[in-house]
Amino acid sequence: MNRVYLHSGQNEKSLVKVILGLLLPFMLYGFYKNGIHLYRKDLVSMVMMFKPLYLVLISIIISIIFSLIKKKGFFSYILLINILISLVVMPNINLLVYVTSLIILNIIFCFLKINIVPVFMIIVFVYELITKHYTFLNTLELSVEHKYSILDYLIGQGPGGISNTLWLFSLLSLVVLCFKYSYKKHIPISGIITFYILLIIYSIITRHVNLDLYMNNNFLFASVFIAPLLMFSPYTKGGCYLYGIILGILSFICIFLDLNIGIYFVIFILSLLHKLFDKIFIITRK
Amino acid sequence: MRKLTKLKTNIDIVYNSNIVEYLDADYLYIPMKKNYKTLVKTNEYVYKGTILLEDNLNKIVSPISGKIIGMTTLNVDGRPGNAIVIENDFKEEEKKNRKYKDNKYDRDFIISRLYEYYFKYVASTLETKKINNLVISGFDDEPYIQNNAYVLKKYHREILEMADILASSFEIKNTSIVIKSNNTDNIETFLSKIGTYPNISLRLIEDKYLLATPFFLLEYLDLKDIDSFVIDAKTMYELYNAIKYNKFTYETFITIAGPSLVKSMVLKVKVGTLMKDIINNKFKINNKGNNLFILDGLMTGSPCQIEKTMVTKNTIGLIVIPDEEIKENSCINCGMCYKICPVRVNPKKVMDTGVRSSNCINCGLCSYICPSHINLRAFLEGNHE
Repeated sequence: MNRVYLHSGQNEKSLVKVILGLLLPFMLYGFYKNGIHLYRKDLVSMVMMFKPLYLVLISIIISIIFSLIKKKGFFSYILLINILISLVVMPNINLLVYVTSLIILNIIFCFLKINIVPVFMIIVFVYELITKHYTFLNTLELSVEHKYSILDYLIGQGPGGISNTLWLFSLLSLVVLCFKYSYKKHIPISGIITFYILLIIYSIITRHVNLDLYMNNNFLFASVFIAPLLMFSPYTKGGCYLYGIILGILSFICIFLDLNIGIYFVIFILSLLHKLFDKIFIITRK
Repeated sequence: MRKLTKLKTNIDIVYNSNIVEYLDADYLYIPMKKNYKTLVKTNEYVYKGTILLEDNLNKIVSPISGKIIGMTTLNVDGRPGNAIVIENDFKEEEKKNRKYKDNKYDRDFIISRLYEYYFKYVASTLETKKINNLVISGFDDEPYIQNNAYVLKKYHREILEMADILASSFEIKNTSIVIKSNNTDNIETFLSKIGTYPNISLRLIEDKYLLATPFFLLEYLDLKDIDSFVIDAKTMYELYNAIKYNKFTYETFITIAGPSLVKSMVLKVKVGTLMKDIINNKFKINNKGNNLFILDGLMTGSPCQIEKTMVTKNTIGLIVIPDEEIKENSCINCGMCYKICPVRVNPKKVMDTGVRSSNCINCGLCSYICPSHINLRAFLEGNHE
């Protein structure tokens, strides 16, 4: 029998609920941007207008199945990870590929605790490269030449995953989450600061400000929601700072290879090494 | 200064407004101690104050008069141990009645009196240290345990007088009574009484866990350990009895509380009283399901059988809660146990490697915060199942 008689009330459910609450506006805006708006422009059918919601729904159904298999409650980390996947995928994702990949990765996750969000993105990225469909732009963005102002980026009109383009809300979410005891705030803070410092230096050297780099939705969303996922990140303060700084540096380097997918490669590699970051600081403190 | 935690205690508990006395148990149980010589035999009559056990430095006396009827195995401070059973004759007969004399309370007199009444720690501290700050703490750490707050409320005159005697005898510059800022009863009481003692001040502190631990309290009050001394209200009252009235304290104060009880109480009981006797005589349990009896608080205590547990000098109380099983989940690597630890122990590392830390103060905060409900405290103690 468990001998904990007084508890703070913090549990997996409460931690997941807070983050899911913050993800809700992203889902709704994704539905507007990549569903309603495209339907109004006659770029998608009535059925496909709901694609952003289908993705969320599919992820919820798969989560329920795997939660039942693992005998976990509905609000578990499985749900959070699957919902995150449904928000960050490319707007042109093939539904069959989405479902298949999601099921396979959930099976893998049952046996191997790896961050399946970036793994999913890498798999889809490879698939889209092979089928020559790789893009983070939706049908409308592909059909017209687009140039966005800072305001457009802030209110979520910039390119990115299917439901993660609310740049300003990503930032607001970071502020809210910083007040949560369980949130590893040192990771996104140090990561974002490092990334922007390097970007500013780069802009000064090249004397050119590229808004696509500064207002990168994938980087900000992934830094706030995916990089600090509890299970795949260090838990010591020093480890979190180091993880964040390396995340910022590598993300900066990766934007020159690919503006959008780079961050997921970086998070995947760093999440595999997260125990190492803790080890460094535990040994140092001895 | 380190960040301390305010515990979430959301159970509404109704306490009796005054300390309740339970001093007439039929039997009393005095724990046998290792390396102590037993000075009494079965069927022997003992007076109140008769020495039952002794070693080179300490003596354990009978809190009642009555007949020794044998020995039994009981739970002594959470561990099984033998105890001498005394049948109470309710006469409270004392062999040697010590006469009260109005003494002159100088330094040497107080120290010798403290040694005589086995307040060795207090005596040696006062003897060896130059105390500039005397801090009297009027609260307990464990949630729902109210012993010191109630003692402070009921015996405020005695405690203030004792503080004044110590301050003048040992030339202590600053004497303060520390009360939690949410204890309005005691704040009002002391604000009205403290004026008589200009050398004693009242300090209010936040309701945070571990502040009853001298180390954390001194750090919180920005005082140095080298010239400061923390005494709780309960000990101050015992010192008062010993120094002022030449009286040994046979009783102690315990809190019995919990959502399973109709009314919770702070009790004055004889050392050696069986928990079952107290529960049966003074409490009504309103929870029809199974109840769990936690000895010495929810954070650091352990479950006990009330039929086999007695009150000792170290007992602070008993919490009665419904027995609900909570499932332990696997660690999600949140690091909150490490973040909350006041002495910077890494419970996750202890759990992963099995290598225990000598710095752990067994405060239970790691288990309290863990979102996976892992009993990290058990890992730190080295006895996780």
